[in-house]
Amino acid sequence: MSSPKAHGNQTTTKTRPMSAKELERSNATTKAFLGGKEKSWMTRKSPEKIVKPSTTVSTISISPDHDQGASPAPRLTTEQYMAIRNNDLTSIPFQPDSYRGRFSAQRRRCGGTKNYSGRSSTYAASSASPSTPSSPALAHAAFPRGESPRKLPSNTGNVLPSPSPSVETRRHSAQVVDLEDEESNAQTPGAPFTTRLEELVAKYGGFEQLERRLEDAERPSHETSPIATTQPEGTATNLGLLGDSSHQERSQSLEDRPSHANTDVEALYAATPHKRVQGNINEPRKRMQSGYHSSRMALDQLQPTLAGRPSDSGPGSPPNAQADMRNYCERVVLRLQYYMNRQDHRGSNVERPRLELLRDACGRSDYFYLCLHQIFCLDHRFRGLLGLTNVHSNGINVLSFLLVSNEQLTTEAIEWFSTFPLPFELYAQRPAFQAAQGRVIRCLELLGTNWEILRSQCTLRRYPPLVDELVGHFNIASLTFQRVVFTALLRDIWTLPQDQCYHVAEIVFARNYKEVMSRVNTLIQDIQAYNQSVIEEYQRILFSHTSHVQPVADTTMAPPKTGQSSSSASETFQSHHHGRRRHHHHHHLHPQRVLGIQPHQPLQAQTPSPPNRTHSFAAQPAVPHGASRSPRLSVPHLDQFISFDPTLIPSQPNPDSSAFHQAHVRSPVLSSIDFAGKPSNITRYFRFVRHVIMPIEFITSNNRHVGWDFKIKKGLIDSLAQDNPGLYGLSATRNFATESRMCRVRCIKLDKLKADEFKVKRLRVDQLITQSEWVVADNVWPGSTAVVLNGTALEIRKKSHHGKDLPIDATRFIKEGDNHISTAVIGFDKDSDAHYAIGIEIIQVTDEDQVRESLPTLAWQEARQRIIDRSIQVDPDVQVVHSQMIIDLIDPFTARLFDVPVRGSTCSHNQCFDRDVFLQTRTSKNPNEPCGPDEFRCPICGADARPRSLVIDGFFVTVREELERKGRLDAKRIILHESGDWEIKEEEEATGEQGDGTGKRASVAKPSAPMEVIEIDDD
Amino acid sequence: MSLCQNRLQEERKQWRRDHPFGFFAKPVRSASGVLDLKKWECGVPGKDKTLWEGGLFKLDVLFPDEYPTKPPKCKFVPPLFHPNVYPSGTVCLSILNEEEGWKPAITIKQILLGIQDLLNDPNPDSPAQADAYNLFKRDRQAYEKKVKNIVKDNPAP
Repeated sequence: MSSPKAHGNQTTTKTRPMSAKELERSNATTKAFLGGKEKSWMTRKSPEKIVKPSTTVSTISISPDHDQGASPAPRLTTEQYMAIRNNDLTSIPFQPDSYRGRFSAQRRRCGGTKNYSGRSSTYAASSASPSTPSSPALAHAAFPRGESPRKLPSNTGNVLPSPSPSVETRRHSAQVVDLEDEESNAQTPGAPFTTRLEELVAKYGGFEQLERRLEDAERPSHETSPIATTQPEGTATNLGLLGDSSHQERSQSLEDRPSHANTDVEALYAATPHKRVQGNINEPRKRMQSGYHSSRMALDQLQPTLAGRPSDSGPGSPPNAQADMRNYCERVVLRLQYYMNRQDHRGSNVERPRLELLRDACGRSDYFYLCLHQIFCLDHRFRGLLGLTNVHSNGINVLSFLLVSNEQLTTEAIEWFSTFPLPFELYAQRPAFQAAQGRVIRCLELLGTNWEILRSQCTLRRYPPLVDELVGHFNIASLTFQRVVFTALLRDIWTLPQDQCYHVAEIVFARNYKEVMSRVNTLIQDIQAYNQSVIEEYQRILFSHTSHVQPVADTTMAPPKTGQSSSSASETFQSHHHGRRRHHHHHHLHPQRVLGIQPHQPLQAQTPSPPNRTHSFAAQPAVPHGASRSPRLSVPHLDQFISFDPTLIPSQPNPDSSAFHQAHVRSPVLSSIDFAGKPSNITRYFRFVRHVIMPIEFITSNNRHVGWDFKIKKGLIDSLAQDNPGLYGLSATRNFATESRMCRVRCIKLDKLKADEFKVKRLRVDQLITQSEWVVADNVWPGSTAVVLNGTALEIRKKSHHGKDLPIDATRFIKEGDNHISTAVIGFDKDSDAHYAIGIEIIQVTDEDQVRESLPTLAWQEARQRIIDRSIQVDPDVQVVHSQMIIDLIDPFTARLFDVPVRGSTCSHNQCFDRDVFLQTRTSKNPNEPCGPDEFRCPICGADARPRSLVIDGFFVTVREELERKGRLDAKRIILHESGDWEIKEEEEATGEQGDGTGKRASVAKPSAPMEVIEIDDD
Repeated sequence: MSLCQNRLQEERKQWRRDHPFGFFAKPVRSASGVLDLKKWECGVPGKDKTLWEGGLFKLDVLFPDEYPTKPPKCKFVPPLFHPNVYPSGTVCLSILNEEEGWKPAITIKQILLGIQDLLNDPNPDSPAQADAYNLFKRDRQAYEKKVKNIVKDNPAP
């Protein structure tokens, strides 16, 4: 991998925190974006508006500098920031494919590994590699159109799409095919659109001219093309789902919904800022769901500035980001329309519905669908070169089922689709696409794992998926794609002769979608009740049609008004899908056969559920849902669950029964081997945390996404314990020996004191917490946590099922060199003041002999001095009479004098414990396994007592020697004088049988309190 | 002798030598007259100047074989009306939880003092029984009245 090495200054850990400054800047940019964002594009009524001359933008959007034009130094926009955050979860596995030489050279190397660029905080880093410039802008400069590696001038001239739908065009398209063949022979990806575009621009003297020509080309076609005439209405308004009046409502609800609000950046775009500012949205609303706060805050931060911003861009004003955006959207539609008009194969069964769907998506600025479709086509075009993992490929297979396989498309169509709406490499300039991209990747993953499960559930329960399910299980933010999935599943599970019932069901779906979008602080009970009513409607439809009763009239299904509008909507929709649908039946694409995915994939990590309802598909046997059962799995209002009545929750669940659904996440069974690979005869092994790789940032309610990189050396990878997969459903086993390493991921929560310190000092995690403090902190997973390590989503095991929050074994997921972990938390705890940190722990296996031999000894003089020093430090408010101190000599386990006195090097008490007894008592719950890494805590104070933190206390060694000489090994305490001399503290004898509990008043001094103190009482 | 027995011997010696006023703690004697060091009968008095003043509440302390690695189990006999006492009588207290605050160095004296503190200072974040918890949360007056009755029923000698 060449690109990571470009970062010469890498340290062991590096992060990309969003500094306050960056955030400020990004807000400024977003402001610029939102400031003038109008819904004209969404709600425009007439075709004239589409084709209005674009005077505001003189440079086309691919110019990498256009963002700078909008605000002082906006490298990182909020859009990008969100995208990065999203990408942290999903790490976009795409290689920008613009420069074929590099691409093909890297292809093999990148095949299995995660692409580095997807995670970079700015795209400046994304293409950084020694041989290529560090930003798209530079990249562009480095490959000017004349020098583009494989470009033949004569060829490119021909390949360019003609600006008008002429006969010429068709001839050209034939040549595109030729070129494509040539390209595939050469094993290189397609022509960079950039270059073509630039040549076009050169040819027509700038983009404005080009745009005009495109517009001119498009205009006359209105009369002839039925598509063109309907196009402007192919917007939300016409479909009756996102009518103008619902805009505000929808945007508000979106910002309120945790699952959407964080991700649905385009919802912010689609929202109408003017309305929002004028409305009383700034007025604090009581909200029951703390999970919404962060997105909410993001908005609140934006608004004041938004309101103060002079309303923008008249003609002649410098091009700004929002104007550019709007124009860009228009250009996308132009491009699509142009292509659709140009096509003479309108009858194509696949291409036509695909185009319709794309247009539908364009109509509502549905970047998600556009991006999804493009990735789908890109994957087909450059099979296997996108670096998609198996999970993603499964998702792609599902798409092939839903959208009909790309095999059915002509090469030309594929080529076109895969550069629509933009060639992929230009995404860097489109924050909205970047954001969408992250979500699409996530969606593909989820489709890959969850599709079959949902499908079989739907088949059994006989009603189609609810919108909540589509969002929750597949992370589908796009209405267009939700409908595709819905229709496909509906047709799959209801094999009815009449089309009528499908129509009616689609109306119900449309209303369901509308309801979901308009939710504002809806109570979970209401959502459940609503979902139940939707289910009942579906069941009624099915019943009325299967029992040959007259179809239920629309009016009974819906309030007349909405019923009307959505009816027309669903008809439009229906027509899109019929062709597609027929087609796919024709080809008998059975997902089961195509996918070959496991029916019970872990869902835990993907569908974050509240602690006491971690059931997901995997946990639920696929039984038909009864009428009374409401699918609450994916309802986004998670925080409702958290306020459960605690009395109902048993404090100690039995993981054997309550966590059975997570049996597959159990750590492998450990078995020791010696160096010859045979079972070892060393009986006492220990595991301890050798090193913690800490994050830099804390996870707080304001900073819920933290991702960072760390490096792992080869030596560590080589010493990792090896796993043997379990056969026939048995647990996997792990072979270890002394010095073996393992790895786990843990999350700790700052205590109040540290959290306050953090608030004042704003330190990094590793500056605030020492390794010793880290290892003794409890493992606590906040809210719903998602952890992705090197592209693998790790499944969290929580207290509600396992008795306590368990660390995640990550031994199998770390790799040599650069590693990336990203974490995200939704549904934050009630105490939103909490600070969490998720870190990687390297665990080492050791044995008893090794520990014994390795313990250092603290010289007695120094040890004694420390005791004296400690007595002074204990508490400044307490007057310490340290002319003499009483110190316990007993080991807490045996309550007798220790043999080898050891202490944790960070302990602040004087008492020691016995080395061998301590090691002897370090046992695992499973007697065959070595002691777990969390057992090494001081038996006196609970502080860090890992083998590497233990020291033998030289002073107590000398004390013991002296006592032995005197034959006083029965001594329990000594008195240490200021001078450093000590004497045995003699014990009074017990006062007979009555001593068990008489009226005798005794001092209440704690036995472990080592000294006698006289408190100066203020009272 | 096992670690557990060793330690309990020492605990007993220590207790007899020195223990807080009003408390009692002793290993039970089986029917055959043998001391069972792993089961103790203890009494915790209510703190002065609290609702619980004047009461003495009896509990069994049961030590597992893994003691002191693992904490003993403390169980009020009969079960006590208190938000942090399970219906079985078992006390829900952080220092008695192996996963939380238990440390092998904690002595019986510290445990019993901790339980005494808990009486008047229940932790509503980890309720163990519904009756006391609900009353404590919803109707403090009724809760206090009930506690006073319990103190009356369990008077200190």
